[in-house]
Amino acid sequence: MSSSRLSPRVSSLGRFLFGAMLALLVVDLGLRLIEVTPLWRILPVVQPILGQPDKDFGFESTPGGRGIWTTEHRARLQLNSLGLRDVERDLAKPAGTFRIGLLGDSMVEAAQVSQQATFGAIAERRLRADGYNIELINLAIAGPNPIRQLWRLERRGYPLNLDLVIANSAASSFLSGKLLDDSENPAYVHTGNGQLAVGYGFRERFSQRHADDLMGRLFVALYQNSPVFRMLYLRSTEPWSVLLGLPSAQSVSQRSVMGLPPPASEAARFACDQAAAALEPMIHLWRDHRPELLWAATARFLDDMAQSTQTHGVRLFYAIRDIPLPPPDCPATSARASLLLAMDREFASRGILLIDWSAAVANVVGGPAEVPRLHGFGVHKGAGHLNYDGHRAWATALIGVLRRAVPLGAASEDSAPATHADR
Amino acid sequence: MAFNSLAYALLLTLTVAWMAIGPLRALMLIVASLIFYAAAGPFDMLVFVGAVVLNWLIQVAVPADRRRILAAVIVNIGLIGYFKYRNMLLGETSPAGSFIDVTLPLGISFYSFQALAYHIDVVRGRNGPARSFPEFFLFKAFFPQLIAGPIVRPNQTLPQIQRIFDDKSRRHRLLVFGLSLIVLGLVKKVVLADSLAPVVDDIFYVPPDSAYLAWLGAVLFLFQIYFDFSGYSDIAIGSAYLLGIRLPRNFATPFLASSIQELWQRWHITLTLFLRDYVFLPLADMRLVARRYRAMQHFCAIVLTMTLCGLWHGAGWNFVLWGTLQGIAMVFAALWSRYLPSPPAPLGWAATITFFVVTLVFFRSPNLGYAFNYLDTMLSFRGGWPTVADDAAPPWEVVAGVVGLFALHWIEFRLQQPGVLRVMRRAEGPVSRGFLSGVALLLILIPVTNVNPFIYFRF
Repeated sequence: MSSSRLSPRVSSLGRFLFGAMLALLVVDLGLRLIEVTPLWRILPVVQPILGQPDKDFGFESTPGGRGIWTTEHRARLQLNSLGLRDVERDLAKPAGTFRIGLLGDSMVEAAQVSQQATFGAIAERRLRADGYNIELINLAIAGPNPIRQLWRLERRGYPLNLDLVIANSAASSFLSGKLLDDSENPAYVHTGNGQLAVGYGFRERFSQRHADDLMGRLFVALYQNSPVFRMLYLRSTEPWSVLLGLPSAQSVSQRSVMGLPPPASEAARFACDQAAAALEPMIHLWRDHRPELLWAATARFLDDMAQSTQTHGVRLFYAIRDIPLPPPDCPATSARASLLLAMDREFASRGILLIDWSAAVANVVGGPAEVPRLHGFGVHKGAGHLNYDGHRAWATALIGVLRRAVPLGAASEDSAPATHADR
Repeated sequence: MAFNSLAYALLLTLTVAWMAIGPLRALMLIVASLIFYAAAGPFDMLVFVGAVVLNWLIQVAVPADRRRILAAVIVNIGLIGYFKYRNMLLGETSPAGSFIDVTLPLGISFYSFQALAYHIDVVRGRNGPARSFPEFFLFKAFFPQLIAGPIVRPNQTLPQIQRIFDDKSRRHRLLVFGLSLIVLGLVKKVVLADSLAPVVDDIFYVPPDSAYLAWLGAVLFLFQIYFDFSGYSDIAIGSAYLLGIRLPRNFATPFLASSIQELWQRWHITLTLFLRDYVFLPLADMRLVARRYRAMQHFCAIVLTMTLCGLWHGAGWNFVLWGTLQGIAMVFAALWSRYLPSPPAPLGWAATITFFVVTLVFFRSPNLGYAFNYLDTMLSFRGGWPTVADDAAPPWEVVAGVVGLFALHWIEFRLQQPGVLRVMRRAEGPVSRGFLSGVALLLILIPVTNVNPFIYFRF
């Protein structure tokens, strides 16, 4: 039917929609242009989704994925051909090289800074400058569930012929219940006979059910390749009040009286109370093995990690961070020591070396009070992911751990200048 | 409700559609305005409705002479004084510790000034009064200009509003013009101002330790506030145009001005005209001193007017000093033009922009002490040539970016030429409407990493 036969209204609507489609293309082009020019540092870009649904893993990163990370701080993000947030690595380990895999969550993945600025890359550079023939490979993937690290290690880590794995998790991630939540990735679920088994509840999700069909593949291709489509998809997942841009309850409450920090004289007591409150559930879990189900999942996870690494002949260090460091003379100091004893017992009994990462980092920067400045960027400094100072401090802490606990091969520790490793 | 929100896009679309085909258009506009302002919260709503009712009572109860002006001054300046300057007079600081007072009822500085202008113009016979409370309410509450201007005078919008009540409203056919203004405003706000905001915030968070960073912070703030406020004004004018009401222009590419007077004639034009007509002219024309001292009185009136302009922008001594410095610069420029030959235009432009950038530090700083500290770094050579560390942009990219911002300003100037309007007339049609609506919608949907409300909402 020719357009002249259409009613004027339908014809107008058609032309209006054509104009709207043109707008989609123009904005998409504009966003791409920003990404490939230095304007990416400042103008709006749409954060990438560097993965796709995966039937075994829940969500797996896409090899070669790239984009501009915008949350907290902007950085160019590029996954290598193995799907790792790292430089290109050969699967075959070069002769004489000591290969370490860094497992962890978003703190280790470190999307907020460039790859060269991550603590793993800094530590590798420093150690190589000191003559150590070493590779530190970033295997991390964002997500609060420690179990993701196990699957990640099995799929991406072992093919790299690792000599050592250093996992890094927040102490709170064992308390969050994520180990028992299989709605996004495999997790331990309670079976009828009182046992825990690996559950794949996430496979019931719409995105998983259609992961392999044409619609699912098209959807993934669109959100990975079209900034506008990705933007529309990401916005569609927001709550209605946020999507509409209505003022939230939080912004209204910000207009009332602002919470004031405690006076300096009470700061130590405040910090002590806070540390004691945060330590309490950790002690319940690691020393008293309560709640039982949570402990059962934690113990199962540690068993699986230990068994997996032993089967592949890889040593495992486990760095637990965010175990509160109470100020001196605080009664919670003894509670912390008791917690570490209990944790060490659990890890050591499975052949895993526990690293008190909070203390290691605090030692590097001169005490717990200095740790907050390692997190966050600009006006948000003090909380969030690691900033550049944070990565430098973590690199120093990591080198310290390695120098103490590992025979690093090519160059002897004695011949390496200490100043390089400790700076 | 922010202009760059989906809620506003829906409200505007529904209101424009209703204005095109529905009955009771004036009532619809009032309802839309109330919905728009309700997003600010019940307290702000209460203050606003209270202010409208008080001003209406002044009209119906106080005779149309100096007593009405006095009553209007007491009510409107009293409202601003109570909410905006109470803390300053009591020596307290803003609870947020920010250069923006978040506890201020939304748009109070704008709607109070507008009400004051209304009463003065009615008493002086420049304009007839509103014929009914709904008419008066809509004049005050018309949502595109409610919370951050342009500050309209009764003779600019009241007759248009009365036509809507008489069901004889003008229906603008050049929808592309209104949509283009909205898109331009969204580009300024979403793409530019909101992108500059986190960088400026980071630099001003702690006083910078190098002159390079200090200058960068001040120059970027110059563009942030311009894009933010002129973007808001463009969206307001564009939205009003779609609803059949023409609002006055508020910005005319001010950073192309080659003197400080010209800059103020092109920056926040409706406020400048308000201050000229209701503050400066009465002060300058008052017979206070002998004829030979009238020039002195004229200059004092300029400085005082600009000091009040500074105070209007914020309840802090940094704003007072900022305004006073603008006034002194205007007097200096006036004396220069009287006794000395005009400098070449590029030199005048450079001096004007440099002065405006430097004095904006007072505007952006939370207090005077911070501002002097910042300026101390800015006007030194501390820090030397910047080094590239921690993924930072190389200085050449930063300089190119700043040059690009000035280039964008010049492009905006070119877009305001009459030829562009002719192009729009030719392009008017469903395709261009669909295109501009689509672009506007997508700009609204661009993810925000930091929530940056329009800066002038809280002035």
